[in-house]
Amino acid sequence: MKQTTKAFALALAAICLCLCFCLCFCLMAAFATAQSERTYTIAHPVRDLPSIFASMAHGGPHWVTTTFLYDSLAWKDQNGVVPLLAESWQSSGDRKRWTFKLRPGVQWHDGQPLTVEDVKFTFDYLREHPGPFSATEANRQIEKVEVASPQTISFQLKSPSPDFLVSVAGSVLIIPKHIWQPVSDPLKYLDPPAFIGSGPFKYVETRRGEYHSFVANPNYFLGRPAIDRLVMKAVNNPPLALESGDIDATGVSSPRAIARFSGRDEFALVKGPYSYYLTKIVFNVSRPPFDKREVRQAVAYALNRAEIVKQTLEGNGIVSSAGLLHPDSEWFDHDLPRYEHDLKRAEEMLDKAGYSRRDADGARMSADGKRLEFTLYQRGESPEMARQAEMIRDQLDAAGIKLEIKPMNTGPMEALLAKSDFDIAFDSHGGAINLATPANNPDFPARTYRNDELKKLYAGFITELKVDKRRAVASHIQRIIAEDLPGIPIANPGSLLVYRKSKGVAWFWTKEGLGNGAPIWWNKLATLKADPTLAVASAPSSRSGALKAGGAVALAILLGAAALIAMRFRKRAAGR
Amino acid sequence: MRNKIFSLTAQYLFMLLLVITINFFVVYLAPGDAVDVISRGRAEAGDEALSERDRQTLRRYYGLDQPLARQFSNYLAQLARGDLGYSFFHHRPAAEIIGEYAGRTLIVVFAGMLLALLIGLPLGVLSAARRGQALDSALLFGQMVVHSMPPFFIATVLLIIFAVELKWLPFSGSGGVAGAAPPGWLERITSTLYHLALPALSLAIWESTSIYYFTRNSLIDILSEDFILTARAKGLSLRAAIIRHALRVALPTLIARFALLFGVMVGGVFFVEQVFSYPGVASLALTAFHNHDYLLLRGIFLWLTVAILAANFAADLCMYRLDPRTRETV
Repeated sequence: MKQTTKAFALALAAICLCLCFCLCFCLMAAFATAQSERTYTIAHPVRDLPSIFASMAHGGPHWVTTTFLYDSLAWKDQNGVVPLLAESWQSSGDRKRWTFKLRPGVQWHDGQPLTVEDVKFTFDYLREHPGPFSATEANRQIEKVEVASPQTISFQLKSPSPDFLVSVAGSVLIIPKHIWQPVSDPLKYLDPPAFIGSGPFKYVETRRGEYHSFVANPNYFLGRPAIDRLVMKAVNNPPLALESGDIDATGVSSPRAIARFSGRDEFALVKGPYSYYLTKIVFNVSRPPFDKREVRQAVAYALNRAEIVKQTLEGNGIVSSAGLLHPDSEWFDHDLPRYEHDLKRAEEMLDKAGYSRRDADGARMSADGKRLEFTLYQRGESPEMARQAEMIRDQLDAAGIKLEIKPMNTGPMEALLAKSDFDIAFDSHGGAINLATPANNPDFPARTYRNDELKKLYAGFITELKVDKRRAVASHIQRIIAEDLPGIPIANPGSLLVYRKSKGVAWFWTKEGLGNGAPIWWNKLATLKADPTLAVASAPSSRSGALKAGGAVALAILLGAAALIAMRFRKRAAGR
Repeated sequence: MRNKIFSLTAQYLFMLLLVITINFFVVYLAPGDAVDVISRGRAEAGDEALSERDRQTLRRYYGLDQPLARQFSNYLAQLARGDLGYSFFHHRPAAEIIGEYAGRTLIVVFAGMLLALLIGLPLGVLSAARRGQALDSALLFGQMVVHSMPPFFIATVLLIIFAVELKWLPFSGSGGVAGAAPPGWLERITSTLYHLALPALSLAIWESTSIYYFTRNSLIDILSEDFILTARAKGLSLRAAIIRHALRVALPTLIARFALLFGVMVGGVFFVEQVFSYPGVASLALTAFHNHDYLLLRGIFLWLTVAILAANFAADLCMYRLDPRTRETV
């Protein structure tokens, strides 16, 4: 009797379990479809709430995230600068005064009107709280902001700034006065009103480390976005996540990932500009032997950079310019020394520099017996970089320079570079599209390198108004870097973005990067209109069909086994 | 008994202090500090790098310029107040951030432990009952195969089958519904369970083997003891002998073993969270490490240590309470 009750209870429990399972599956299915119908998901390193005041610590991607919620006066699309909050603008002949006419009828997410007072407030507020991106730049350039009329606002600058549209008007996001005026510590203000902007999306919620969720702003002044919801999601393997349907678009860089998506109907691949990010050998020019220009140039000739790009990036990249600037920049000089592979010339230069003696293992030595043997500190970021470092080692070995590679994490690498405690390093950095900011960046052209003439030229470039003269200064800057060679730029890898066509959004690469040159493809303008040519339904793959069938069979077997066990129980209970 | 518990507590407290000290100093062995990293992040995105003066101000602000001994005493005083420090990177107290991520990790670990028990215990009992038969050998072999797989491998296989190919379970995340309004509690719970399934199952499969082996081996030992033979001779079925007598004897050690599993699971969760892009403490630790967010990293280590020590302490206490033999020896 006891056994029968037991069997009965067991069976009941099993049925309950099965029911729970079914219910869960139904729920899951319901919300999976509900989500995929209306939501657009992109891969994103979700770190913290999208507060614009935290972007200083979190960098470019964080700033671009906030641009979906807030707007700047001007913006960029694939062809260059376009109006956004400002309808039109003009500047004085000396480029020291810029006047913007605001677009009428723009509203904040809470329904309040956006006025010139908000714009003025934003720039005044940034003076006290320079946390957001480009705030330092704005404070450096702007002398005062004046409301000229209810629709126009003028900026009086301290010195001429031909780049004002990009470096300030296209980068500083306008915040609502009625919300921020009473806030004294903006970094800590993270209540829901802190995310009220005028952008195409409204803030819903953020789960740190997991996702940002935004919903379309139906009253956006450029029209309602073509997608209902935008989710930015942290995934560790974006290509696989795209394949599984977890996300709808991602940037890819590794040759393997690119091969995986090319030639498939359901995905579109957009080749970007070769990245503004580059890999670079950096010399310590304050220590022998790399304090000698000839030795640095000899190293450049000994390298076969074209081969490095071909082997490590499988063709998806270009050899960087010795002048550091990206070829897409309008200031790029096409006539710089190219340092094409010439081992003989490298050997002659090294001989001439006093390193003609050879050790038993082929290493060159100076007259006093000092071997050309160094540790190559490598920023340990990607497998491609590791392979490039290995090729550099092998190519320089042929010229008699021995290197031992040592990969480093970001922190130790930074400490090493800051203390100039190295002879030769293999580094990487971004920002190679912009000639106007490097004056403040220690990586341009290299940490240990000091050149007063270059400094003067940079200062002149920033304030020069005549395009011809500017071009001449830009060329001069690049020539000095290319000839002096404090570092040898190796490769700009290609950047690609892949998106699912069936979702209707056609992402693109922004000309010269978003804002001041952020090489990121999340341009909010892409979400504003659906591309009708993209609506191609993706067919389920046969592989997943087979797996489904397999799963069904497995389930049937399991159920059969459960039934058998139950029958045995009943038999036994009857036998007692 | 009371003495025993007292000395046990003292042991654990000493261990905790030791860990706190090591934890504090080990972070300083890595060169470069958070200020360098913040500065680089800005330069990389096209903004200006911090000037040397700004760096010094930041270092002073966060107390990074003081002597190490001073920083350590400040740290102990802070801990006494329950303050784990302030994260440079997130601009929030470390305790707050860890609290947010730790909950998600604890759920996975506990669900994993429970599932591991549900898988390992019955299989272990079955194997012991059928000792030497085909079923036992098959189970032993299967468990050996699973036991030799690393957790991230099991996780990847499950991910590819259930998330990429079948699309039955989510590919990433820990829950939450991306909708117009923040989701309600019912949605939160279903969504959490839905996202929990794969990570917890991976951990469970990985660690169920140790419960299986433990159950099987201790039952086999106990089943050959005299009191079981007596019970069987009196006509008790094998099933009843196992359930009423043998399992009861094995229980205290099994529970202790189960509590110890916590530490092992926390080790495994580091890999599993990566595979499922699960935003738990392990992912947080990796990001903090990457950003050189020292104070946060230290907080995470401390949290992990306290959690594992607490689990072990609970295991020891269980042993004392449940096993009459340990009580008698005092």
